[in-house]
Amino acid sequence: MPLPRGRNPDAVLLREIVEGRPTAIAELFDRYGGLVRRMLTRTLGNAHDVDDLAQETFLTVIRRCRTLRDVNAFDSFVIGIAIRVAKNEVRKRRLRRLVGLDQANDVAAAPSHDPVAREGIRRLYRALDRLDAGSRVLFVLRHVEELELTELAKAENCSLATVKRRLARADQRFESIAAGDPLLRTFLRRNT
Amino acid sequence: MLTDSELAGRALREHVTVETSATAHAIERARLVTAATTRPSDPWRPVAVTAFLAAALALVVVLWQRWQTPQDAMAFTVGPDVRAGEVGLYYAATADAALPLRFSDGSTVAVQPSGGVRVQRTGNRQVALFVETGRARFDVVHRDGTKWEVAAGPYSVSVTGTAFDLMWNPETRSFELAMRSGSVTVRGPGIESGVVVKDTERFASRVTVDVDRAKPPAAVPPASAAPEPPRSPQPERVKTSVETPVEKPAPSWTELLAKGDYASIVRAAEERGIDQAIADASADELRALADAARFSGRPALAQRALLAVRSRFAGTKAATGAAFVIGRMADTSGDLRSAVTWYDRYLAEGGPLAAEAAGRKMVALRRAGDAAASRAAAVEYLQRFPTGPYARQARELAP
Repeated sequence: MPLPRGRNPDAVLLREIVEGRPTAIAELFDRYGGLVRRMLTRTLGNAHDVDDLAQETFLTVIRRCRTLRDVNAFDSFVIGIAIRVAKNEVRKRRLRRLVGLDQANDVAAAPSHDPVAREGIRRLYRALDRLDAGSRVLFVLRHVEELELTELAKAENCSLATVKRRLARADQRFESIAAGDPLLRTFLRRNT
Repeated sequence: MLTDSELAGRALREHVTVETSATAHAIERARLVTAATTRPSDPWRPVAVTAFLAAALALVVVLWQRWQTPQDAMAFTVGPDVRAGEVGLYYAATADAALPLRFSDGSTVAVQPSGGVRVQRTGNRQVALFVETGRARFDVVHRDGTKWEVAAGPYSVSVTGTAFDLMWNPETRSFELAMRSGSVTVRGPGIESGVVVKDTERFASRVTVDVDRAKPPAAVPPASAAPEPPRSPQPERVKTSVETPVEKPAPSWTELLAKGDYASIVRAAEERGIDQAIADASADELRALADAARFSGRPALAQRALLAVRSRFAGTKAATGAAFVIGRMADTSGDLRSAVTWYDRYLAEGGPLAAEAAGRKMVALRRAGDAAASRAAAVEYLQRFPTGPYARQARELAP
């Protein structure tokens, strides 16, 4: 899925965001709030703290957008910051779990009325937990949010070849984990 | 043949939906605006240890001055459209929606429907607010020096950081305060020294006023007479009764839902009588009941609650949202035609999850085997949401 071109602000709006005008900031949130929240929730696997993380993303965008030279790159700029926030949060949660501070498991907002789906999604996130933070974010943005590889490269500020290589590594790792979990494979293939 | 990675992506798209109500979106937007417009625009970067220490010292001095200077008042915004708030103005919520006031320190006051408040004064971390009538929900962020004074009728509440609901009815002169966390001190007639209310305790009090009306009005003095000194007004004789100083409130259905206690919601509705609950519950309660019933495996009860939202609160955002949830329930149960109908209703009413509803409608039509209709839905989807969450499936259906 290509990034939503229609969201890119024009130069006037960008300047108003830099100036801290409330109406411009509200418009920024209207344009990107849903996208950022969806990315964060699906990457992390639950909605815990997602509102705070979305706020952190937008405050960073506002703080840094004076450094943006090309207004047409605004989409990638926002996605790039959301990626960094998501990666940091994945690492923090992993560390908290490691030292026993975070008892909450990553149980996704899966449908409670469908126990098979719920268990399938739980196992899917357990598999994603075994990927490193960068691979996990890349995997979700490509396969769930369906971002184009070129957009991912822009957001990650790296070459297309690097993104392809990293994604192939993430896919290979995920598929090898899934191969060892028959229930997860059955769930993934039940609607094919 | 799709790979496991692609199938995983499809499963997550299908099952991990991210729904945000328009109200929640507006609150988060207001929070961002408040935070962004009260932060310094340039990050402060130390260049050396000495510069750091000097700057830190300067910062302490500045903060101390800010603390001492009353004009560094806390800013606040009003309503979902983030209007700048003004001290002294009266802000009233409409009969069917709460009115949020969001302060620059992160504290919020949600004036409940038909309620009204007035911010009397703001200072550095200090707010004086008067609840003129109705109910308001307070979430005051605690920081060093935080001091809120909330007045309602003859009562005042001293707050340093806590969450509570306050109600004042000027007609019955009754006052209620329900704590959600932290503690406050309430003062008023008969409790001048203050009563501490904490945790989840509830304080209720009612004032009975007996004004001496028997006294005839004073005679008008002759014009030549020397003016009398102004009389002090006759003091009201106030009888105060403090009722139920401390009692535990029953948690609301929305609070129970947030805790995941679905069984208690369904049980409470059954104790009230399902018919009665469906007939007199608020829209929020009905949504909570519907969710609790769905998550407890009671789809019929969930559907009754949602249909009640549709009929009793027709034309509201809650009713529109209910259409989407009914569509999803029908979708899950395999009643695909009904699902399509409800998604269509949701789309016609302009709900905020239009891209999701249109995509689900398209998929439901495909699953129902209606190739022509699903292709048409895919074409329409790509026209309306070319980058929406179902765009790839739409392109597969309508290449």
